Amino acid sequence: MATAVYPQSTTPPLSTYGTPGLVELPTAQVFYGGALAFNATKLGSTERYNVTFQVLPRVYGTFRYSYVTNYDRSFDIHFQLADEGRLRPALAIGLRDFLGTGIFSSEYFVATKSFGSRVQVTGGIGWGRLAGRNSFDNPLSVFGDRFDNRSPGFSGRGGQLETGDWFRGPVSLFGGLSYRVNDQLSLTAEYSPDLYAFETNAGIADITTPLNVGLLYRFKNGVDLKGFVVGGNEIGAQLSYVINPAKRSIPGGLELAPVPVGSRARLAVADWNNSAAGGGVAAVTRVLRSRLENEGLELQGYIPGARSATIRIENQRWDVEAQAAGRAARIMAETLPPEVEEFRVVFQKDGVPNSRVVTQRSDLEEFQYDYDGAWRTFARADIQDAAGLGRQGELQETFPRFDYSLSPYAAYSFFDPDQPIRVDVGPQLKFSYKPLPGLNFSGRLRYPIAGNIEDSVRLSNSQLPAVRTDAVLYARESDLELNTLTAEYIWRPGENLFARTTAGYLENMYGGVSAELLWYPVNSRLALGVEANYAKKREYDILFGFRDYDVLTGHASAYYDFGNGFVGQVDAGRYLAGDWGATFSLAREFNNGFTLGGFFTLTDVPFDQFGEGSFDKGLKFEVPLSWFTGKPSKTTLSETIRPILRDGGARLNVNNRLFGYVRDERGKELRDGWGRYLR
Amino acid sequence: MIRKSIAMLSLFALGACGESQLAARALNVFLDEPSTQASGPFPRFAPLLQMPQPYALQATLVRSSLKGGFLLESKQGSIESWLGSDGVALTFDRGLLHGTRGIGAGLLASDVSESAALVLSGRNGVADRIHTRLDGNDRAELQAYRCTIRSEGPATIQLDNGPASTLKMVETCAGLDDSFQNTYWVDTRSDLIVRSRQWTGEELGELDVRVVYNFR
Repeated sequence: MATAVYPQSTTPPLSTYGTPGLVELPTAQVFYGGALAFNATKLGSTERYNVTFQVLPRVYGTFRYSYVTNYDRSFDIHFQLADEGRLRPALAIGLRDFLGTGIFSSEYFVATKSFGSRVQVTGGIGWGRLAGRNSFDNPLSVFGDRFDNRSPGFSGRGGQLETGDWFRGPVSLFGGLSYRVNDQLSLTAEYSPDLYAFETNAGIADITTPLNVGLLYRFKNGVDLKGFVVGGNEIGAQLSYVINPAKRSIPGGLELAPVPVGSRARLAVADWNNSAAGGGVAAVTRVLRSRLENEGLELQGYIPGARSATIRIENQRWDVEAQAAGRAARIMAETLPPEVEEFRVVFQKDGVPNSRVVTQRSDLEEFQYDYDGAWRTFARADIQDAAGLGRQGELQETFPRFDYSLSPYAAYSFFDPDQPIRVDVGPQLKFSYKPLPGLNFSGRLRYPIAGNIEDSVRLSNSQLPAVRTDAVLYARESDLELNTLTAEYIWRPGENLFARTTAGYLENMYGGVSAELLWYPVNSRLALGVEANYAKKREYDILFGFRDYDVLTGHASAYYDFGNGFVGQVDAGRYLAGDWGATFSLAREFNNGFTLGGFFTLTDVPFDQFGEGSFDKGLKFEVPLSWFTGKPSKTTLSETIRPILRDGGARLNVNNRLFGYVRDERGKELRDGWGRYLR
Repeated sequence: MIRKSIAMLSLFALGACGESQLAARALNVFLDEPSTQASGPFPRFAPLLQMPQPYALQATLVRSSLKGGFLLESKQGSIESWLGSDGVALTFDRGLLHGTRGIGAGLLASDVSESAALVLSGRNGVADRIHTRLDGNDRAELQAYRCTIRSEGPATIQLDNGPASTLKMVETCAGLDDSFQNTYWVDTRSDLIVRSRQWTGEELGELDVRVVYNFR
């Protein structure tokens, strides 16, 4: 392995398909686990934008948005069967465009071997698009005649697993080599059997030779720039960049220094925290409150005790809850009288308690500078459910609360065939009134100043009730929009239980009533929930009126943290168009909060009735702002991307679905962040 | 390099409102971010300046020449926590760097007691050292080093209050992933490390620390 030209710890060069490869052809290589590669390619008049994610050490998947004669989406998947050994080449099998309408559809089996530290040779066999030039009979035909033929052209609506054609039809051989001149420069040459039949027919490609050549320059900051010639005449260039989600851009962080835990003897002589001589509980509360506020923690309740004290806080700054727990405990240690030994930190939102972290003061004193302090404090800490606390110790000033904010917003619409990204921007006014714990009257007004979502001419052609495909009409006919206006109540019906009811204008397209119950034991990997909604379609002007479509929709959900960075979710129930089915989601969640996931929904709507795409599916990513800036923040950049939004398998959007609302403060997540407890 | 310059900006902030800070503010407005860090000196710093302190520390990141002043905030056993004027902190065990907070480097804590004992006694010898780092995925990662410590004899160095006679000690450490060299100048009268160059880790490199007596 030491001699490999591109060892797995570095990034292999990418092909025009955004995967480890030569010019157009794949190699058998993979990235290091978790790598996320971005690639933009211009080849002749065509464009490809690729995102590849190394889901497992041997498996990567690619999402591609391309322009040939139309904008189109496609997915690839690649399995490495064996990595490179001293004699054995790396071996891999892969499928390109295995879901889409099939323009790039091909399969391959490929081997790659390094010779010395500069030369790498690749050879393989391809089906589909990779079986153009010098093709011959499919060797898989020994398993049956069905491997002889591949259906010509493209399948209609796309989206289905086109398993019927995988590894079918004639095959061709392909190969190539790369030569690494130095750390910056590499040369690539390949023999590609791709005939560019579709592009040639469309008059946008001129292919006269199977030989493609490329020249790669790797900048010191890791950006790859590659120029290449395909088929003798087509010139292209691409930019690639690979990031490692498992590594924050500033690993140590730029947060302000925590308060060191000093000696208790020193606190004993300070009179403000000595209830006999000083201001008593009121003074302690005041000091706690102001010190916690400096740490971005709002004190909402304080329950003093002789040996054990509880603070009820809402974390407004830290994306890693364990770090907030550590900060809070140290503030207690610097503030409370010396005889208080046990610190109980209750995490809550708007007065509704979630979990409680119990730390012994002497453990903090003992381990704050210990080289293994994170694990040692964790071993001695206790994480408990905090239900049943009621309004005990609540500070008077906590309720009622009135908040508002004015900020810009941006709303996106992706993958319109005429315009890949549509966006509306404008100001939004958010306001909320919270008279009691968990009770929240809130709303959001938006005013789009500029944008082009309403310019879309893609109107609904759905055979189902138009529950989502008429989104453009909402953009077109609205001006000042009442995005949401709701009354929401969140409470704890019992230990490990959370409940929510929301009524009003729930989202820009629906109003109604929503109720949810979640069972989530504090240290469990499993959570279960149910949700029931009555939803009524809103008028296109997004003000107060309703249209005449309504539906009962709801789901039973199961959430499971597999513990290895994967979190799964299944939601089964009835969707907005009245269809029944289930949504399956799987997310790769890095310990620092960076998350990439995918989902699909299958319902009783037949694929041909669903329309383009056949069924609902998409990708989701979440990146904590702190991942980029190093500064603690509760803000997360997140987006769900669907290749196409149709009416089947569509869910209501309700704010504060419970699992997401409570999860960060449950035991498993607290444990995952404990490396930052003493940070 | 972008990563590092962001780290530097906050480290030892110089009060300048540069373009990147403006950009960061604009981003915060767009994201509806609460502003967490008030401008001006860090509130915990001023009271320290009022307290009697025999000396301050001046720390410089060698790679970028960024400087900052630090005052002792807390002491527990042999570990001292020093606070910078802009809210970052460094912890030391008898003058040997033990941890960093807020400067971008991920040094959570260390066990440098064996090295400290040798350096301060002026003896040659071998010591084990353990560093715990945050790895970018919020996991604490232990790194062990084997270090050789040797005396390079007396050296007179210039401090802000004049020349000081010191013993120069050099510590050479090797671990599984990296190796580094630290240098300490130990004042022969006070047995205090009055100047040192110490490794903070891959992200920020070497830190030059010196004692400053006239700092008010």
